[in-house]
Amino acid sequence: MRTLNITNGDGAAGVLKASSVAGDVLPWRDPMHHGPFPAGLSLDDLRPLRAQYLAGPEGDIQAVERDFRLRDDHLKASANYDRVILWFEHDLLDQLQILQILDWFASADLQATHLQLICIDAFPGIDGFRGIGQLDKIQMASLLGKRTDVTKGMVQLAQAGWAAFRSASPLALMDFINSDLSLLPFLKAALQRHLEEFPGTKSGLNRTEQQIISLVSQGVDGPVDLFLQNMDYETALFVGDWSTYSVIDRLCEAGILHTQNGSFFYPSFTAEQQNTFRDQRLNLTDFGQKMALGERDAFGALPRNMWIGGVHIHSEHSFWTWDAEGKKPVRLTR
Amino acid sequence: MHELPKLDPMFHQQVRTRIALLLYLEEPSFSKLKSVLSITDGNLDAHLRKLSAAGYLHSRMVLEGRPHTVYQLSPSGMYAFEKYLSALRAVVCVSDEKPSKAKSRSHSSNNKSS
Repeated sequence: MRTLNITNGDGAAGVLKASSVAGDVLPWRDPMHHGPFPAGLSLDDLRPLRAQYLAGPEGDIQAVERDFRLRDDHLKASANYDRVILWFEHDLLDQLQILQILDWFASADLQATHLQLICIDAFPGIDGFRGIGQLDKIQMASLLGKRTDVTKGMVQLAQAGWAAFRSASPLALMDFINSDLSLLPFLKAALQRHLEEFPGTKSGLNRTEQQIISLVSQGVDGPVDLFLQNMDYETALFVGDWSTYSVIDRLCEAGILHTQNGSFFYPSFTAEQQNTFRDQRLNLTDFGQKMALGERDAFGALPRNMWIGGVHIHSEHSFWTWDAEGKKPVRLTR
Repeated sequence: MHELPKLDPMFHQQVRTRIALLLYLEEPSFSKLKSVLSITDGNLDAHLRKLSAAGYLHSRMVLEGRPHTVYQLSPSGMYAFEKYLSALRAVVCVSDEKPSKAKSRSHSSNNKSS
């Protein structure tokens, strides 16, 4: 039996390849919780957009786009397999990947290929389970017995969720969250967490930014410690190390945090520069301290020109925020 | 009459044979493949896409140093390439069973000169 195993990234893919699980392995490898996913674009249309966003101004866009193209070519070969198994966990990143992949399968001609899903939020014996990438190869192989057939209802639900995630308004996502999502049981919590990444209606800060500021105000001042302790605020971790550092950098640029060197220094490729990264210490500026106390908001200091799924947030226009108390999106005009 | 071996066209193409051999033996990056094969980005990209579209390509992101992707044959790619190598060996075996015309000519030519 020829099997394709699709999973969330290189960590889980590496464990799968080393395990007794038969078949080819395709890591989905896209941090989908940030950056643009505008409505109406196909997998092929999204590729250059995601590559440009993820490569950034200094990255190799062609290399990133090549990786996406090879990934998509492999996905399109799904009908060559007897079965495709999706290996995922409960967090936001994985739930978005499931939506995108199942949405693609909705219109794919699979012929006789059998589509199955493994999706877990816990593993026996592991406290504080974060993801399948932390399993060893024997634990990973044991999940094979947990696979379930992907039903037509699950695919239709994923199609609706994928459309809602890519809508230009978060109200579509709110409507979707309030519908019956029981066929994909981890989706509701994950998408609710997604909405908390919109700037707060009162503070102008999203939840991750608020968590980082809170940690710094408690004296956590090393970048690696901030990354590690920020994980503890999440019931379903989805923010990776680089994403955390980009939040810290953004808060430094906004004059909310500062280091002894002034600006934030990212992890680098040489040992000497790596020490500079590790040794820097983050502190709140006077402005940041007022923000931590709720005396100031971040709207003026944190200019936004960013995408969250299908929603474009631009500070110079009216834009969507998240009202944490009312638990609803609010459109602000400033 | 011998049954003639079938050579998988996925691998029976000069550039792809060499790519597959490199992926079979090690885990090269795009730049390593490009430099060893002396081909353009576009050409290498096209051949990697063919392998990926057959499900024969695995990739892995390496985070040491500047992050980059390395490639290898997937298990189904390994299986298919080993089948291709067996078919090539069968071609050699079949041809070895008959003395080549080149050898015969060479032999007769030597006879004439002696």
